[in-house]
Amino acid sequence: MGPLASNDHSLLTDAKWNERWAAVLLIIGIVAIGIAPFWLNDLITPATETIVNKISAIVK
Amino acid sequence: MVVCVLPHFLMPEAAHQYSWIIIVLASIAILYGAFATMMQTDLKYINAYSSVSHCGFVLLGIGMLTKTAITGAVMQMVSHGLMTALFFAGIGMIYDRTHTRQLAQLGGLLKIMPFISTVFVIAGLCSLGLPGFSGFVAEVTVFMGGWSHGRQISFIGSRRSSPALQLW
Repeated sequence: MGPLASNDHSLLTDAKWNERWAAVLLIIGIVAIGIAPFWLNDLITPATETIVNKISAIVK
Repeated sequence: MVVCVLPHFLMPEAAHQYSWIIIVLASIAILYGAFATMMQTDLKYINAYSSVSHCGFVLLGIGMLTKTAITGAVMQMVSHGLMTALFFAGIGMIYDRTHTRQLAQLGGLLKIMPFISTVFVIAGLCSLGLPGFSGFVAEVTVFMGGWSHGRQISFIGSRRSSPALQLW
């Protein structure tokens, strides 16, 4: 929001369409997990249960 | 992940007995990474040191040895992968145009590059753990897993990292 640190930067351009596409895909992934994380949680939980059950069975 | 989880299978008793060492080291990594991030002036170094902090959360979740915490650790891996990719994409876009990564030379770019600036804001908010982004979900899951295991001291110690990143 402040002044430009270098006057050379005033001629620069914003992201091109291919750069925007790549960034938007990543942002969609970040927001999707942030807003509705349960699908990812359901994918991970069965694997973690195996680890925790293994430890619980031996260490009482 | 393999290095951390394999001992849980091969030596579950030792993993349970010495998990406090992993928790202490993870807490140090979280705090050290956060404070080291604040001292950097190069965009790539900022991202690299914040990764140290995020990977500390992964280790913390694994060290807690609860289902919720380990789930949070895996979520943090996914979240970290996405946010770091976004950060590096933004850094690459800026470096491609300005040929510098020094923060002092990158002032006022919001008016010139609104999209790239927005990318940085979103990646930064995700990195500090703002609700609505994947970073928050992952870190909260790790903390909840630690809390249910009764490791309040670690919870309090780790919580200090997020205000540090927010100040940055």
